[in-house]
Amino acid sequence: MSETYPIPTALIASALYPGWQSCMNVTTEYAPIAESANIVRTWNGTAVNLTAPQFRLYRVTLSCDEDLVPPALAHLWPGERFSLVPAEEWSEPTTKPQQRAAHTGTTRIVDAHFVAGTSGRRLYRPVLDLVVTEPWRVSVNERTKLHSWQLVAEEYAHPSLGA
Amino acid sequence: MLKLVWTNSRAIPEAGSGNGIACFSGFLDETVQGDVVVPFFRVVIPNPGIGGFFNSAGIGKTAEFYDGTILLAKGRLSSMPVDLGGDTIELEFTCVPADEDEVLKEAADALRIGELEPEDPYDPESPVAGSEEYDPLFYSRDASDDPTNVLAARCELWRWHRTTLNLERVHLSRKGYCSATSLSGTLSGGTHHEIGLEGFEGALRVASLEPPRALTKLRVVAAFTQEARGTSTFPCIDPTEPIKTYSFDDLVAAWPAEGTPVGQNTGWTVAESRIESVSRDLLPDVFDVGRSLVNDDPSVVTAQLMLSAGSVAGLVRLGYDYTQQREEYLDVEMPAHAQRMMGDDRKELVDVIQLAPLNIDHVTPHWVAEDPETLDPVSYNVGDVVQANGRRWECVAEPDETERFRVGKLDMTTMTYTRWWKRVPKRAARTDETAPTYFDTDRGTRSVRHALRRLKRIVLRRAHCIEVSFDCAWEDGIAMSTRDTCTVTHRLLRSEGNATGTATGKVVSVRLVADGSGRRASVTMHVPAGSDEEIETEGGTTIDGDVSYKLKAPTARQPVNAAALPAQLATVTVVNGYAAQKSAALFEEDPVAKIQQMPTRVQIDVIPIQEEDMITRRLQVTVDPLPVPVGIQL
Repeated sequence: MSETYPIPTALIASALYPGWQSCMNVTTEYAPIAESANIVRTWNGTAVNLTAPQFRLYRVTLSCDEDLVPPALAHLWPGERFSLVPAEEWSEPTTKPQQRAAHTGTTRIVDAHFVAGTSGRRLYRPVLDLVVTEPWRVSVNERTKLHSWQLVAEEYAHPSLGA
Repeated sequence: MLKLVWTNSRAIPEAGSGNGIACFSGFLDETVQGDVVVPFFRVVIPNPGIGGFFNSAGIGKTAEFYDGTILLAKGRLSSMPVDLGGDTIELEFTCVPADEDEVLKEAADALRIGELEPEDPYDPESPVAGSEEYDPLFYSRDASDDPTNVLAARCELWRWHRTTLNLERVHLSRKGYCSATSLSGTLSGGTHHEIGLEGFEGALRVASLEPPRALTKLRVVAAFTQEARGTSTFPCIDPTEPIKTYSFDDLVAAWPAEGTPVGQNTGWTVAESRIESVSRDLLPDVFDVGRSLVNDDPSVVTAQLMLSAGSVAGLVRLGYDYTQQREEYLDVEMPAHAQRMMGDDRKELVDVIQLAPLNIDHVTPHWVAEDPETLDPVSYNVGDVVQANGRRWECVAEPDETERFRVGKLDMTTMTYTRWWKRVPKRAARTDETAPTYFDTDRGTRSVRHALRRLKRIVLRRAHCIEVSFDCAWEDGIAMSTRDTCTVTHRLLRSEGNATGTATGKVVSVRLVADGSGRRASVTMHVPAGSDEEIETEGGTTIDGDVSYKLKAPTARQPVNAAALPAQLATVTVVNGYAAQKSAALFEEDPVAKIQQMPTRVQIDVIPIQEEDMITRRLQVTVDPLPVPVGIQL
């Protein structure tokens, strides 16, 4: 075959193996994991989070409609680890530490007017070390050949813990 | 991240390293239980399978419990997990060393100050460190079986340190600790934690424990036998004053024998008796007698009889034997300087303590052939002191006889005698057995002050009568232990008319709870309800920094002055002495018969020693109100 088909997504995840007519329409949802919040109030009324800093982890939900080629999900059993660089950028103020490692060459810093500089907003695509936390699901329609699927994963461990 | 590291496969865990077993949940508890703090922790770890479990773990194996790189506790696996079949197993560890019983017993025994050496006795002015905190009379002979009883007169608790597993002592009320064997109990270290308003809402619990009554009373009973045995200093019949009599042979025969009692139940006996000499007068006395003595012989006109007297020089010394049962009641009453919580003014009797016999050495162990627990033969070393055959012995050479107690042994081949044991003076509380009193002697003062210190512990502990529990941050809990004190502020701890109030107390329990992502510490403290009003003091002797007392002791009733018995004189009457015999026999038809009717005797009269059934003496100790810290305003 001499003709190559374009890859429709910028998402980098070797485990998912995104490619032609797969992951065409991915929606990525981020949220802190539920355990990151365990709020109580002191006798002064001050809110205190009882959770240790190691629980400051992200939950990532990948969902997709209208894929024509099924994604490579079959081996992603709950508990399996995989690495993901999402297609879209994250954004943080440069006054705060960078939360996750950036994928090589993706960091750029812009000010409020979106002019490149040294301070303002840090935009980058993070490298996330994920573990499948919920059983994924894929549904496919035989007539339209449309696949819709969802994969829920959480970060494996806090980067401060190393490996 | 909570981690468990088995010590036998240990590698020091580093942050983020793979060392150690990750724990799903952990629970650490350091709570005062009775008089000992034995921390423990429980962790839930992935089940390594039964083989993996028994390879790395097993009863008695030790492990360390980390939060990241912070060592939270160390301990020994104290029981098998209930279930080894689940995905996870729960393990419980106790934070004590393997030889915990021996360590505790040894430390407790170091605080047991027995009877002091007779040449260096207890001095109330400058008592030996630890001698008031322990008085062997308050304990039974088997006291060392229970290591906690040694703290009965110290305001302290035993504590196992949860990360070093060392034994130490912590104070009931103040922050700080001292080494387990410190006699002075000087505190160092410890932290005061200011939690302020940082406790977690919804977890405050305040309870009232049993506050002390207006007066707390302790009675100590000392029963003893006043004894005086001995012989008179002066003989009652002196050989330098011989007794002259015609019937000297008879007097010698009837001379008071050793051991015979004088009178009836007088308490006196003849202790020493002997005849030194019997001498006859050179010049006989002449008696005119009738002729009947010569069978009325008509050839006899008058008859005379010559009788020669003799002098008996002998010695009699009396002995006395006085025993008097005595009993002394010491009532110690201590008020607590605490805020009034109970409406009544009642007195509470907390204990009646019967002292051990005062004249028996019950500190020195008895010689035994075999250890009662292990049934192994006991070997003694040079310097060991034992009691055997009612006496006290010190080992001077290692005995090679273990079957029975022997002082030494004669080697029949070399004919040399080896001495194993040397007799040393017995150690008893009462060294002067003739003394009629106990509690107001120097040794008795030690008992009085020991009783005061016991009472102080009871009152001080009871005065910490508000229990405040709260939850706070995990980090605060890691820093906290039963060495510490703590202050919290809360609107419900307010006194009347205030918006908020504080409670300051001694930490009696710290629990660290980590379950999933939720981590918190639960702390319980006992808050003293002392009063800040000025203490009305009556003065007196002050001991232990804050106990001022006065002893009211009535004079002891002494029907017999035991100390004066050796000098007490007996009256000796010579009945039918030489003069009486002679005057009676003169002009008698038969002087010999007359003299025979009047044998010479010595009659000893003594003042009888009165023994009464039991003489009771009541002593009273009044104490100034015991200062209690003001931990809370009620």
